[in-house]
Amino acid sequence: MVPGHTKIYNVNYQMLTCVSARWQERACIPGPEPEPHSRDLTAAQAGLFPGISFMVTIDRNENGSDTVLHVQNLTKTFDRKTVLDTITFDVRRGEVFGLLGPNGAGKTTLIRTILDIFRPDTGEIALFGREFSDDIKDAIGYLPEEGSLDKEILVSECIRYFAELKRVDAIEKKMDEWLEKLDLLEYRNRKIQDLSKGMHRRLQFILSVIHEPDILILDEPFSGLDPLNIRTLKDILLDLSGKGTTLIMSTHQMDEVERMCDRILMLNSGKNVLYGRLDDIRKEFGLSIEVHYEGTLPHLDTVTGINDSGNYAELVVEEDTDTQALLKTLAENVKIRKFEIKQRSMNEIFIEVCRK
Amino acid sequence: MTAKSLVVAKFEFTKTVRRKGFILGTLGLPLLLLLVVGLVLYSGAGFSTGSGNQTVGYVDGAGFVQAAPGYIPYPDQEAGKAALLGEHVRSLLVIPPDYLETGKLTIYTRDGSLLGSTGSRKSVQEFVAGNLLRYENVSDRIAEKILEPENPEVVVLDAAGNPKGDEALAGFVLPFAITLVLALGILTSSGYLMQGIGEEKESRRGEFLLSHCSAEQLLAGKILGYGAVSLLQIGVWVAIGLAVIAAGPFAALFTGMQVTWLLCAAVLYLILGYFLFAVSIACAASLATSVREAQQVSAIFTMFAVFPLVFLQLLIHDPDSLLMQALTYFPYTAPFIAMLRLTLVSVPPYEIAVSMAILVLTIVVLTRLAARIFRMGMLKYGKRATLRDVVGFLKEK
Repeated sequence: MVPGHTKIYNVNYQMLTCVSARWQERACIPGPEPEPHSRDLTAAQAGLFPGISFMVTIDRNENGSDTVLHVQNLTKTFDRKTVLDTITFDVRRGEVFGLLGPNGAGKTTLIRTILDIFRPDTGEIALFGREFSDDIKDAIGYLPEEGSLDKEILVSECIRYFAELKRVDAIEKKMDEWLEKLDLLEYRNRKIQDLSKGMHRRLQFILSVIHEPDILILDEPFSGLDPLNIRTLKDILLDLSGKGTTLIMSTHQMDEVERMCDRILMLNSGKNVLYGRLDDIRKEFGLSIEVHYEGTLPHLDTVTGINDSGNYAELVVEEDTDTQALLKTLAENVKIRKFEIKQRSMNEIFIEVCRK
Repeated sequence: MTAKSLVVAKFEFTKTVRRKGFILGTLGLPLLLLLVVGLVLYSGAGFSTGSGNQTVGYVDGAGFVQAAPGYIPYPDQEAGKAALLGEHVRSLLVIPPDYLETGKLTIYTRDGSLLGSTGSRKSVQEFVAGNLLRYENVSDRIAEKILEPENPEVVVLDAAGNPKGDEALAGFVLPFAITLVLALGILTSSGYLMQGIGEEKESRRGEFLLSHCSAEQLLAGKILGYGAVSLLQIGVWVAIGLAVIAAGPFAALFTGMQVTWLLCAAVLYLILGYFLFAVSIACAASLATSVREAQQVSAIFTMFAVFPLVFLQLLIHDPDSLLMQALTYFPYTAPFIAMLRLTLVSVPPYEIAVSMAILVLTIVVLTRLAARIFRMGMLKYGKRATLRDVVGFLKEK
C-alpha cells in the first residue's frame, strides 16, 4: 500500500466505472462530497460496514497533494559527462506520463535514478512525498526495454520469485489471473526457454505488475510485440490507468504517445526540452498543413517551416495563422489537389525538437 | 540481512542444486574418485602378482652380491643386455666395480616400467642393500630391522606430561581437513557465484532485479545462496568421506574426539574466508562482460586458495618465518596459512586475534565497497569496466 493515509468514504451515488484517482476529472459522475470514515480498509472489505454501498480509497501523500513523483533539479554525471542536467518535473497520480527523447538522451538514466539504482549527484527525488525507501520500491513496477529472464526455470517459479521480492500476498491466485489475462496460463509449468519472444515480453510485463504497483514505469513497452499483443497490452495498461495506476512510459512510438499520454517530458542530451500537457505542447508548435500540388510553390510569409517534396509539401504555421488566406495565395500560384489542416503530430514535434 | 536477501538466497540455492552439473559434481566426483582409487589398487595388485617375466638380471662388478631367487647373474654387460633383449629377464641391474666408492647403480629395461614404478626400484635397492649388509657380516636379525623398520608410535603429551591419545592426531588431522574444505568451498562456490552473476550480466537481467531489491540485498542473497550450495556439496563429500573412513581402519581415530579451540578457530576461518572470497569474486564477476571473462577475472582470487600449496614446503620447514607471519595477517591468505601454522606449531594467540581482526575489518570495508561496484558493474553492459570506471563506481553514493 502506498505510504500515506488511506481513507474510506461512504458514497451513496452511482459510479459507473472503476474508481481511480482520476475520478474527479473524467471517470465518474461526481456526487456529494463524501464523508471520511475513520476505520481501516481491511475492516471495511471484510464487510464490517454494511451501510457502505460503495467504497472509494484515496491514497494521498503525506502532504496531501496528488503528485506521486517530484523531481527537482536532478543532475547526474558519469565520468565528467553530464547525463542529466537539472531536470525538474512532476508526475501526478493516475496520469499516463510520456518520457520521450532520442537515443542517448538520458531517459534510461532518469528511470534508473527514479528507481534508486543510480543516486543523483545533486537535486532531489520524492516519491509519494517521501525519500526513496524499500517500501516505496515495492510500490513501483518496472518493465525494462531489454534483458531476458532465467531460461532454465519454470514460468511459475519465475513469477513466484519476483512476486516474493515484492512481498506479494496470495501469489498463486494472482499469478493465474495474470497468466490467463495475458494468454500464458498453459505455459505456467513450462520452462522460460520454451516461450517465444512475444510471450517472454508478456511474462516480463506480468512480473512488473503482479504486485499491483501504484506507479508503473515502462521502457518501450510495445517493443518485440505483434499488433495483437500490442492491443492486448494497451487495453491492460488503460485498465490499470483507469484503476488509478500511474503510468510512466518511455517510448519512441509517437502515435502511442498521442493516444495514451496526458503529459510528457522530452529530454535531449540530458536536458529538459519539452514538458507539459500534450495539447498545450501541440498548440505551442502550431499547425501543419499538408498540400498536394502541381507547379512551383511561391514564397509564403506566414509559413514558419516547410518540407517540400516537389508535388507534396508539409507547411508549418502558427496556431492563429489565417489558413484561408494561405490557401488563396497557394491557389493563385499552383494547382492544388489536396489542402488539409491538422495539428502537428508528436512525430513532427519530436524530430523538430531533436534537430535543434 | 533482510527478507529480500533470503528470497534471493532461496531462489539461487534451489535453482543451482537442481542443475544436472551440480548433481553430477556432488555425487559423481566422489564416486569417480572411489573408482579411480579402486582401479589403482586393482592394477597395483595385478602388477605385483601379474604374469609375465618378473626376473631381474644383474652384473656384479663390485663382487658382493649373493645369489637370490628372482635375480639371475650375468658375467658382463653384453651377456646381460643380450638376455634383456631376448626377454629372458625384465631388467638388468649393473653394479660397477667402483660402486662402493661412488654408490652409482644402473638399471637397463625395455618397457620403462622401472622408471615409473617406485615399488620396483625400491625392491632392487633393497636387494642391493641386503647384499651389502651380508657382505659386511651383519646378522639377518639386524639386517631385517634395518631393511624393514617398524613404524614408530607417536605419543603426544599434554601440558602435564600425560599422553593425549588418538584424539590428538584427530585434532591435527581435522584442521588440515578443514583447510582443505575451505579451499574446496571457495573454489566451488566461486564457480557457481561467478557463473550466476556472469549469466545475469550477459542476459542484462541485473536492471530488472535491481528494480525489485537493492544491490546490497541482491549481493547478500547471492553470497548466502551460493554459500549454502557450496556447504551442501562439501557436506555430501565429507559425509561420503566419513562413511568410507568409518568402514575402514581409521574409524578409531575419530572416536571420542573433542571440539578444541583449534577446531573453533578453523570454523571461524572457514566462515570469514568464505565471505571474503565471495564478496571479492562477486565484484570481479560483476565487472566482466561475459561468463568466460568472469571466470578469468575471478581466477585472481581463486589462486589465493591454492597459494598455500606453493609455500607448503617452506611452511612445514619453518612455520614461524617472517613470510609466514606476514601471510597470516594478509586477509586473502590468512584462513589457509593461519590454520596450517596452527596445526604445526603453537602460534601466539595475539597473532590469531590480529589476523581475524584484519579479516573482519577487510570484509566490512569490502562489503560496503562491493555493493557499489556490484550495482554499477551489473549495469555496464557489453563494455569491460576499466580501473577508472571502478574508481568512479566507488565514488557513487
